[in-house]
Amino acid sequence: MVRASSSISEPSYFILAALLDSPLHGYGIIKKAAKLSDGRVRLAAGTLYGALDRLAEQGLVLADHQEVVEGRTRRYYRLTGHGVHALQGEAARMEQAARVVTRRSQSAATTPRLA
Amino acid sequence: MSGRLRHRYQRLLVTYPNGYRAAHGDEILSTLLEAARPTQRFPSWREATSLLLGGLRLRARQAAKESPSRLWTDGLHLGVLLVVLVNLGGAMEMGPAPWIALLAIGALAVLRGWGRTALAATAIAALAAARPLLPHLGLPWWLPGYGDWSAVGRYLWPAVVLAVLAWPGVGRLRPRSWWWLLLPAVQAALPLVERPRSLVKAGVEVGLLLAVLVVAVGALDPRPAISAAVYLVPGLLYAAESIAEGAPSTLALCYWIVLAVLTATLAAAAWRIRRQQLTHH
Repeated sequence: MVRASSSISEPSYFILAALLDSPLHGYGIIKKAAKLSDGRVRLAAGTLYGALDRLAEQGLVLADHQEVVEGRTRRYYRLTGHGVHALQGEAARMEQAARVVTRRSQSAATTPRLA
Repeated sequence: MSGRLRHRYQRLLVTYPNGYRAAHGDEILSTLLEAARPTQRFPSWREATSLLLGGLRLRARQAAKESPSRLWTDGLHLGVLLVVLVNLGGAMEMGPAPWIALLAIGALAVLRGWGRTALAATAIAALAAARPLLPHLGLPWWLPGYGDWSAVGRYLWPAVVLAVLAWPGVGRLRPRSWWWLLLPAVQAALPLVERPRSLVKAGVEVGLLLAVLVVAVGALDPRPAISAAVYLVPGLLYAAESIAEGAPSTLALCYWIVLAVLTATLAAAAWRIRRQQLTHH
């Protein structure tokens, strides 16, 4: 995995990615981010809400609605238009950055080396 | 079981600012409980550390948004509150009732942010404490008097800081929590700890100052460091006078050196934190 740019850290990237399909509540984001990252990104609650706070300040996510399930408050978050754009931009940047290495690795593997 | 775990997690939210806790506390607790194992009774280390650091980071972000004058006002205010509460706690042990009442009015005024009342009450207390040194003023007999300057300094110092805070253009003092009143109550109960009392006090003081340092650096907030430095001034005055008058015990000397080093470290931390904040901006 190529590390996200300085503007979006890896946990924040997977939080945004988790919200791409539909709004999710805190625990929903934790589960989805773990699934999308093959279990590598395990968000603790303090990290999650800190990141959500910063992303909301940057206008990338916002609180969508709230519900109470079995006496527990769930607040759902969703991506803003700006958030979708920033996530897609970050994905394209990382894809391009990954290509720089993968292409050269492939050509290095096929080119015979001098002894 | 879930109730106990909830209660334990709730206590870990202590590092978050009150406003944030009121707005998001239930939501965070719900997430923590949903993520917990069914038989879990205690918060995991991972979640506990993340919550404590999360609260400190949030405070850091909020502190970075405050103006330098606001940070100084809050820091000085909290520092002076600590001094007047400790003075009140000391008086409650054996002081005469009118003296306790005067200090209590001053402490209450500082606590609630009533700047002028606080300044008036602490100035009267400072004059009263200096009675033997100022015989020509004819101050009332029922006020206790101190013949040494360091003891007078303990009562004069809050009045000096409050005079600075009363200067035109300095921000309004924010009311502080009523919980602070527990401090003089605990202090007044300290005589129950008999022989090693001063050692207990010194240990608690040094421990708390180290905690303040960790919190200030962790939260990138210079206010706790400013407050602690204000709180330490009367103790350092006393140390200076004792050293000037004769040879203090090795233990006392060690204690004062630790306090002086901590004060310098806190001042350096406050300065560094502010520089970091400005760099981040």
